[in-house]
Amino acid sequence: MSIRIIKKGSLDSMQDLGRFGYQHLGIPPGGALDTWSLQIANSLVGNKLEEAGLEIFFPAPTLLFEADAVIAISGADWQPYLQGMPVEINRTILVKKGCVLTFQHPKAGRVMYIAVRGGFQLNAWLGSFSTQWGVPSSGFRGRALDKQDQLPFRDTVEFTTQAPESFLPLPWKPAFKNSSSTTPIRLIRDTHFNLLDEVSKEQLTCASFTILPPSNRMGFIVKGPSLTGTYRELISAAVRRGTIQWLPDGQIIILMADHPTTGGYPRIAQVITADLSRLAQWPASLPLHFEWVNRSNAEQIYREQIFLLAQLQNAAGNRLASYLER
Amino acid sequence: MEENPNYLAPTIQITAPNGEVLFVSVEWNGDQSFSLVCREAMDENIHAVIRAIWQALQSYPLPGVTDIIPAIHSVTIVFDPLKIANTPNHPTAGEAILEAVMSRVTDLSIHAPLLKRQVSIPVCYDTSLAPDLITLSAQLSLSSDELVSLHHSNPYTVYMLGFLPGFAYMGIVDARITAPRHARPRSRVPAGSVAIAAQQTGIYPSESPGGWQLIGRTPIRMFHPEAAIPCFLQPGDEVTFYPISLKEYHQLITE
Repeated sequence: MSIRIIKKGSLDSMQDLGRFGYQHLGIPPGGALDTWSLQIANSLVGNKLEEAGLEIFFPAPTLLFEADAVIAISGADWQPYLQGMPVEINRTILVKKGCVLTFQHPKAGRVMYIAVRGGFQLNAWLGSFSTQWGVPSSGFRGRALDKQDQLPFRDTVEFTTQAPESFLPLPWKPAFKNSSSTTPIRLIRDTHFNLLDEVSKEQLTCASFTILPPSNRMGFIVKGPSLTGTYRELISAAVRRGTIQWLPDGQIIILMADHPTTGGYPRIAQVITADLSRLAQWPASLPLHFEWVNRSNAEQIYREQIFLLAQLQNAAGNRLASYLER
Repeated sequence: MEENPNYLAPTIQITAPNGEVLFVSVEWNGDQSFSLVCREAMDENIHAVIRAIWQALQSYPLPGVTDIIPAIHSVTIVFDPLKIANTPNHPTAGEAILEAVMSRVTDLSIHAPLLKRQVSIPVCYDTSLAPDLITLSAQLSLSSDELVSLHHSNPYTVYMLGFLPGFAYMGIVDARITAPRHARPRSRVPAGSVAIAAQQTGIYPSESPGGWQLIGRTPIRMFHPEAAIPCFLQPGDEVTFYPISLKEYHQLITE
């Protein structure tokens, strides 16, 4: 009753929405890099939004289903194939035992999620299933997944008579897009914005930036015009996912899922919560632009996102019921 | 884009144990976080105020608050706006939480002296476990023994945990042994390494890259994920180091 890794990928791990309440001990929240796509995948299989899923980077693994499952793939589109047949992302798919899932080509996106109905059987560490690297009781043994690892399902599923021979994508998909829009990433000014000189303040929202390849789950290294001003290192204070730090060389880094809890570089801006997942999927080849938004709009956009997820979860859960034995 | 003036947050005054009146202001950090911030310094009185704020906020659960992160001169509050009912009096969930936070920290009185949990930590300063001890003492024109003795002669306060799970920023080290970070961090610092950077001292809780000056090692496990409280130190602890021999170190580490 599991998924088996038959070829390992570059960085596959178990993630949920993160581990909160322990940052005063230096324990970071972690969690999915693109929480929106993980929640879409969970919605499509009728899970709780915060259920843990499989997070995958390219090159992707090859997966074998050792039991029947209801799955959804969301986030990056790497042309998934089941039993050699192409399937779409953002679909609810009934998968029979014995099916093999492969990924052909990194068509779009940086990170991908697979949710299974009922979730994976994992132990929670400090209230979360997310992988804290090096903590064996977190995620799947606290590490990236390896060949022959078996990811057990929490529940069995039984299909009704409409059951497929190998797999069956169900006839619906969400009416809204993935985290693929490339309108500017929205920012709120942070504490040290005023250390920048006037030119650099303008450049932050006028210039083009590029996400550089060393970017990873910890942070995105963003290349743009060298920002100048009255630079100084600071007494360390809390940082968050989306904090834009100004580095001594004038470049910026945007902290992402595995950021440390504190930092001493100037914090010039914060990416709004609602745009963090879009940023996570931002193509390396595409220029990145920023624009200012106020906190009240940022919160409104976030509320709308979560409302869409709740609607999708509700709709998908209801429709899915007729395909499954109770 | 200008922020609505209604968003301007109050500055409050809190009297530190030495009688100094400290101003605490509010800084917004995005749409789901704000910080209460004192004067930027590593200072025992600022710490007393930060700790009092942290404890006042921890003592009752605040709806919607997911993390309260005390640091050297700030306390950061992280919240989930979906857990807050939007009231017409507040433009965002943030304001509603700020109001609740402010009502708990205004008129906060700080009792001196500060009660701190006392923690003793054995440190082996043998050069085999202290790769920077000899060069650093030479740089500071001290003997190794003098440096070691200055390091463990005074107790330290845990000002903050950060960088890695369980990494405590302790201070304030004697001015004679303050030392800059290495220009090029080591790629691998062993767990338990006791180190100095500027006016701080710290212990690497797990193996990691690091740029601090390594002057000893403790056999104590600073980060123990399976324990109910996974980190040996907490913000506000008072830590006393005591020297042990290499033999004692090896005995303790195998226990």
